[in-house]
Amino acid sequence: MSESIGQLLTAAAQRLTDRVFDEMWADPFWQARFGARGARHTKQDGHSHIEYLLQALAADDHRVFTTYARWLRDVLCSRGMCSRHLAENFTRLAGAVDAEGWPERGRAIAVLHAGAHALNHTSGDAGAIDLARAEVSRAICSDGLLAEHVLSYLSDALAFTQPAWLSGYATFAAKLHGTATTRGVLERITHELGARLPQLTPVPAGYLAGAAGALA
Amino acid sequence: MTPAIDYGRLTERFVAAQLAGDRVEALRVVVDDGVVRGARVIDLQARVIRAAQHEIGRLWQHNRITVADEHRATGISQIVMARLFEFVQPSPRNGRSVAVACVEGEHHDFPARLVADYLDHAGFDVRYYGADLPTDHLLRSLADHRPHALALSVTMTPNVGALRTAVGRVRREHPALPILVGGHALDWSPQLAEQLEITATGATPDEVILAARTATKVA
Repeated sequence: MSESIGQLLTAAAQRLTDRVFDEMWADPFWQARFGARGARHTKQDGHSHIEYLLQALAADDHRVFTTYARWLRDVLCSRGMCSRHLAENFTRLAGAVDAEGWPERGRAIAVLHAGAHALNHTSGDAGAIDLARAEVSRAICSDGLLAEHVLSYLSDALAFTQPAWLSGYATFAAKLHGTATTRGVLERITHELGARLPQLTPVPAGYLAGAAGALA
Repeated sequence: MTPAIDYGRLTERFVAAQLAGDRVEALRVVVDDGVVRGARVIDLQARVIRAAQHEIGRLWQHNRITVADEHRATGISQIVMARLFEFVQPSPRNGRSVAVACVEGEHHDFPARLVADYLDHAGFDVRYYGADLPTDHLLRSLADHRPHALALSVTMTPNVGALRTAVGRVRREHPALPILVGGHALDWSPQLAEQLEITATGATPDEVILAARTATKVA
């Protein structure tokens, strides 16, 4: 009898977690920002994602995982990450599951993609910015990845009324990418959002200006 | 006339005492300003201590307190719960017994303890097993003591697998035994009780007691 997707995931949990960790932490951002403690937590969280994925599959209910995703977002954003980081983790895990080639893998991949999608904000300025994030990031092509993360920190900061989350990231990004580059991305995002999303309140621009002002 | 009890204010003061690590103040809030002023123990458990634990969890989630702070706060709640138990005016026993346990692997025993106390106050004979009861030992205890119902608690979603296992094994060995289930994991798995054909207890004392009375056919 063939093994179920749950059995396969359980048996492969360490391999999948290691693969996703190695992919994520190839970006020097992670070591620089979170260090050894962050690495330990990332690995623990990787196993936790699989445990919740298993329960979502057992219940045949994506909500088990999407509720977890939103809860974990609250935990991680208040500790220096942004929604896109967590969504990237889920998406990479989906890729790792896909690479295993298991016949039932589509069910697991669908749950993981639902988890990533659930991290988009859906209302207010944060929702509008999340909808436009890919388009705005593409427009700032030379620093698109940095722009995408700034936008994610911005929408999280707006959704939770925590401007310090954005300025904290910008201050760190300035150390990693240089103050001029980071300030330039903040200014171009301000311009692009103003041009593309006229319905935004003044708050996002205020948060971006505050983050730029916090740079040395 | 008994003055109205401001449970929201008591909760704020209780949380402040927990965060300060001040057990004496926590007891003062609940006993001197709660019990002595006419509050029911069951209301203090549900509307102050449970609410405070919820707030403590929220503060950790948002990185406002550490894991150590959270554990210290929960320790204070446990002490106060034990003290409160002495003030209970027990209802007449209703002749029904309920076993209350956390499923194997579940270390968050506070919700199960609340359920055990609610049921005890309401007249049930409660056999409370606390955290992380191995399923083998649960089955052995059910065989020895033959309760009228079993209440299982599961807080963390990864422990839902242990719940599924426990329910399946209890069903095989005690097919007529009503099984109740409660805990935070049910909030994240809204179809779970229906899938397992078990009764969700709800969260408030009234909901828990009604579920147990219905399951055990208390007149």
